[in-house]
Amino acid sequence: MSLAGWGELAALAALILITAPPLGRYIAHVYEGGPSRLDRVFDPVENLFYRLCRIDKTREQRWNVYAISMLAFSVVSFFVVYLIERVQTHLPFNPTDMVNVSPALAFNTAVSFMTNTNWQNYGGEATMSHLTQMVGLTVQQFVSAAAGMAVMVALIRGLSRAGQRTIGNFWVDLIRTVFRILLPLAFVFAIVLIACGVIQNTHGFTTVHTITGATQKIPGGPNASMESIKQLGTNGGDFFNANSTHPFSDPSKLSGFLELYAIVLVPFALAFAFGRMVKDRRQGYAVFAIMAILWLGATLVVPIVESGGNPKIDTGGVTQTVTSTSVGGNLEGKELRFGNVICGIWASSTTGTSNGSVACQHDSLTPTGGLVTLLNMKLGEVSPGGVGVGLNGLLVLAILSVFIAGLMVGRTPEYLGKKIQAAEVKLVAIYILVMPALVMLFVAGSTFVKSVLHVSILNPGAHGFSELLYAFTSAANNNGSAFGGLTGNTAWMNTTLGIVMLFGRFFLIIPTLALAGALVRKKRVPATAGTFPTDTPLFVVLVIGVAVVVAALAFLPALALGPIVEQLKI
Amino acid sequence: MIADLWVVLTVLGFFGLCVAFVRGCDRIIGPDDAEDLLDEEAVEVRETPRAEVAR
Repeated sequence: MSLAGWGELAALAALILITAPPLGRYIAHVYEGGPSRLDRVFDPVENLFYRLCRIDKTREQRWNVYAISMLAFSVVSFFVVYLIERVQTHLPFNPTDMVNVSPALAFNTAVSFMTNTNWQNYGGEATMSHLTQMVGLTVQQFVSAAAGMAVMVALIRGLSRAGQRTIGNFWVDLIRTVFRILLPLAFVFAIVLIACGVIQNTHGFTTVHTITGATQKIPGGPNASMESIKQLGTNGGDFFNANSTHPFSDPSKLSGFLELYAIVLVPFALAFAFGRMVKDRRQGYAVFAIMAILWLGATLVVPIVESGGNPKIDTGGVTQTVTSTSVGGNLEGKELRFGNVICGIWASSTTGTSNGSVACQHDSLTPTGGLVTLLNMKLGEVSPGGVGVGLNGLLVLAILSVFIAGLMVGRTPEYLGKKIQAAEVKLVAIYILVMPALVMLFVAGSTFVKSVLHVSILNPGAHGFSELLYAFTSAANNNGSAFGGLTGNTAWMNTTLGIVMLFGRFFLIIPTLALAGALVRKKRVPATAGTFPTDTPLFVVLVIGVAVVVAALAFLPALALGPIVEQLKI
Repeated sequence: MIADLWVVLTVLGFFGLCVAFVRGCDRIIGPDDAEDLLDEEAVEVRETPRAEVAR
């Protein structure tokens, strides 16, 4: 990796270290609900929503009511997006004359955006009207991210409160997250993106004549507003088919760097928010360290292996060395404005969070690069994780780690003064098993389907298997990034990926909320000499070890059939 | 229209399953025992005798 590449990585790390702690402080303050100077701005808007929706903001909910509220909100969200897609041709603000979306694709897309996945089996500029993009998809990018953060704050309350029955009010958490955290951040970032050259207009297609005399249709649309929440809410769904390689979404190296920063900013900030909310900042630092080590590890590997090149390309007579016109390395499938470094950091960050936006074709990464992106998702996207859901995953791993540590020394495990007993471990086990079960079941089942083998998979052999494994891993983890190559817009893929996204979202969120409900009523036990400290480097190493072992136990055989065998064949 | 109906039924069926899953998880953690709960009134009731004993 070049000196400039190391500089980019160092600048990104420095920016995170400087800005994540104050943002974390602000987020914690929002959820703790204390008085703020911003109340004068936000209170009237929020109170209007409370009145319109008949929400009693002072009334807290038990975990099961919290979960049902979240489910009710999600089902309504689904039907709103589905309906807009199905009748978009009859709705206003359709300057590109888009026809109605087919039922299977509308189902897949509505599920995808409602679950914060943003898997896209369509090209945005060729399928969706401006209204669908704005009112259907972009709104979901806000509220699905907010729902994930609401679940996270419920779990943190479960850990920080003692002897209580309730974990907060879903509707209040949702509304406060949207208005006090996501909207202000997204508004500011959209302005920055517009300044960088990301388009924001209401145009349809503009027909132009090229230098060679041909005609070309240039798409327009309200893109910057979608682009900003796409990254900040770890959504990943783009206005355009080419995602963040499109020059209207990511016009320069600067915008690429800033978007990369936006992907990881909120997830890292949540570690600091966690520390403040549990009234023990060292716990937050430990969580931040786990996130940072996993992220940095993956982020160093991908740019280095991509900069090293692919020996198979050498055999084709293509030079991969650094020249005055080339940054060198494996440039197949790379956006040349960004090169290997931004692409590599992006590939690692987008799969370590539940973002899923792409700045290069993951299909064209070296097998090791592709393996790292797959591993990031298979770890449960905890490096640093999607907004809200990533921290949930990490806290579940932390609880599993103290349980394993307790087994090793023969003591009742505790986390933050809460005894971890049978009920909590059962819920953790469900949480850990759901995602691998979904991926294995659907990948194995899909290999028997003719349309998958003859239409969907582009490449034969191990790489084709990687395409399929990546798709279901991405869907089950609500990531949304695509390996590339795979044709997803078929009846089988639309339906099965949609079902996997649904289970991957709600069958993890429900046990998480149940865990919060189980923990919130427990009394805090004082730390003794036998208590395993959870704010030390040893605990950080233990959680990382547990995360890697759990992922390896579940997925090593599948990975061996895909990227590992590909690497060995080089 | 038939395809739309299938979508509606599938999604409603899934969310019905989710509600059943909520109930299943609730059975795992069991009911809230009154003695476990520690609201502010309970704190006062429990702490007063201890304070008197200390005196």
